[in-house]
Amino acid sequence: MAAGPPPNAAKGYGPNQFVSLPAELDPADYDASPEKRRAEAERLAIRAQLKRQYQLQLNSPNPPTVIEDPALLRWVHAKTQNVYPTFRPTRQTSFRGALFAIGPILFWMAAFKIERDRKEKLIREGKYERPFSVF
Amino acid sequence: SGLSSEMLPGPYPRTPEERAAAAKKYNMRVEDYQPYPDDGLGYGDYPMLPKRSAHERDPWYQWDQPDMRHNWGEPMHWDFDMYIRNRFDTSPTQIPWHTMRKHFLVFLSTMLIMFGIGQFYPSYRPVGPKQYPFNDLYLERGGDPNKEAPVVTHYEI
Repeated sequence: MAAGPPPNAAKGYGPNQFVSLPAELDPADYDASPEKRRAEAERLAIRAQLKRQYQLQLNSPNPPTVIEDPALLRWVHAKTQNVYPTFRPTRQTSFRGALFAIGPILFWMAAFKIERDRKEKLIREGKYERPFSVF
Repeated sequence: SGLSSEMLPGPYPRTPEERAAAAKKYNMRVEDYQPYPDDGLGYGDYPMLPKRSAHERDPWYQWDQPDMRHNWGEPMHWDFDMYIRNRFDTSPTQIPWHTMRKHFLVFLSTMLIMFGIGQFYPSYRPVGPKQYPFNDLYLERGGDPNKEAPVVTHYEI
């Protein structure tokens, strides 16, 4: 039985949450409209300005000990100190907080209690042989 | 740090002016700047960048930080430390992703099922209980030497 036509490349190699679309299959990669070119030019201008600032600091006669990267500082600040001020208790966040923060504590409390009570009952009834081992 | 509070991340931008100021703060174009949705999860005005790992960046370009493939001042992804070159790789695969997943799952499930079957229905050559000499090691097991040992024969002639 002969195989059917090969599957569409775009469907096979489409992006999902683990891989991204190859540049060759991306139609946005092939258009060279003036808007896209202007956008690329603006991005290049921003990148060139940043590069210039960095190179000035790097090659200056008295370079600073550490060239601070403001993007890195902003990233660190956003992930550590900006989470609590911007957090807002909504339905989603409260549900997730209850499920992942309070849920496990209650679950393990119940699990240990039930296990200990069961063992205690067995020992009281004399059915449990206590292992004599250092390990 | 040497950054003023205007240069640091802040709350979600509500007005277009705030959006423009945030885009300028993060060194991005106003059209490119897209903050995370305001769900109260703690992102604030941090931009939502495409989920591309460092593997996808040009290896031949002269980055300011070549190991991270990152330039000075370029906005970093929220999960930047996940997307470094030692970790998660989002570059397009040679074989379609679902094909790889299918092959992997078929192999894994076949192996697990076979191991499971082997646990419940073990298969080995016939064995019998081990036979010890000297009347089943009567003296070695603490039997009384003065008493007569029970005779144990493991053979038939």
